[in-house]
Formats: sequence, structure tokens, C-alpha cells
Amino acid sequence: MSKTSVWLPDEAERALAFLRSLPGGFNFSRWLRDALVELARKRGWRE
Amino acid sequence: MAHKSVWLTESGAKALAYLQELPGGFNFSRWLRDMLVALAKERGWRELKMRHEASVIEDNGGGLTLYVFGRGGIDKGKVIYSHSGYEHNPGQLSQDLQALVNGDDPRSWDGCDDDPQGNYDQITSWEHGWESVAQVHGGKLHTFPRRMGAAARIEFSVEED
Repeated sequence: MSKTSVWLPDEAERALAFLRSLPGGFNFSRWLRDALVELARKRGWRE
Repeated sequence: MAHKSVWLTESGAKALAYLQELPGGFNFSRWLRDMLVALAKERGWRELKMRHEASVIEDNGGGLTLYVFGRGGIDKGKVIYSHSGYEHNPGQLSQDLQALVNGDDPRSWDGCDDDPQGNYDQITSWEHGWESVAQVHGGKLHTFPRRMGAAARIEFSVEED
């Protein structure tokens, strides 16, 4: 996996902490991949 | 802002690279914030709003004045809004206090007195002749019936002892 650095605002940090605290947890890596791929496809990306 | 390193899968990294190459670019940080906040709210996240602290002062002439303090930055602790004359319009003060408890920002309100900080400093510099009869603190309204004169008792529906 590649590593990307990103500035995450405080509000986003708190939202992420909340999601991770939910029962069942939150797979951030997988969610991020799916969300990025979905958005890119909507904007014309073809792998 | 926190600097967070995010691990991306190969397909995630390729999708991000594609988005960033589009005309107009792609603000990954802002998009990520918006997506995370929207998802968290969808799942029940409620952020507690920072609320203004406030004090209601009743003077010995029966005047009721609301003083609201700044909640952050250079305004923190300073009096940013004051309004006097609530004794002439019973019920309005309670409405304004409830609005503060709900997280309203009084800087959008009408009727701010001239020099709220100066007025507050002046009246609180006196040893007698005024009482703090109610406060908004920690997001809650606190009233102090024993300190109240006639005007405050009418406003807060407090019966005589």
C-alpha cells in the first residue's frame, strides 16, 4: 500500500474518532478506497 | 489541524491521482473532512456546540442587563454583547438566555449597548448596588433566586420568600 499524507481538520479527526468508537468499528482504509474509487469513476475514471 | 498519514490501497492511490489530475484539481483534505463528517452525522454523531457564557445583572434600580462573553480567540472572556432594559419587556430575557443555551451567537442580534465591556467593568467595579441573578455556564442556565430583586423575580417567575 502507498502512503499519502493529508492535513485532517480537527472536526474530521473527531468525526473519525466517533466512527471508530461505534460497535463493529470502522475500517477507514477500506472506506477511503471505496469512496475514492467511486468518486473517480463518477468523474470518468476507467482503470 | 492534525497532520495525518493515510494508507491507500493501490486502487485508492490510482483513483486519487486521477482526481488530482482533473482540471480544477481535487482538495483531498476538504473532501475527506466533508465525507467523514457527513458519515459520522448519518450514524448519530452530534458535535457539542461551544456556547457563550453570559451573566444577567440586576442593579438596585431594578434594571436587568444581559452581558455575553466571547467564547474563543481574541474575544475569549471579553464582553462581546450587552443589552439593558429587559425589565420593560418581561419574557424577552428568558428567550435570549434560552437562545444562548441553544448555541446562538449574539453578535447577530440587534440592540447591543454601546461599549458593553466598559459598562460591565463599571458596574462590577462597584461593591454594592448590583447582583448577578442568572448565568449561562457550561451550556446551562443557572438562576440565583436569593439574589433577585423584584424585576428578576418577575422575569424568572420566582415567588417571594
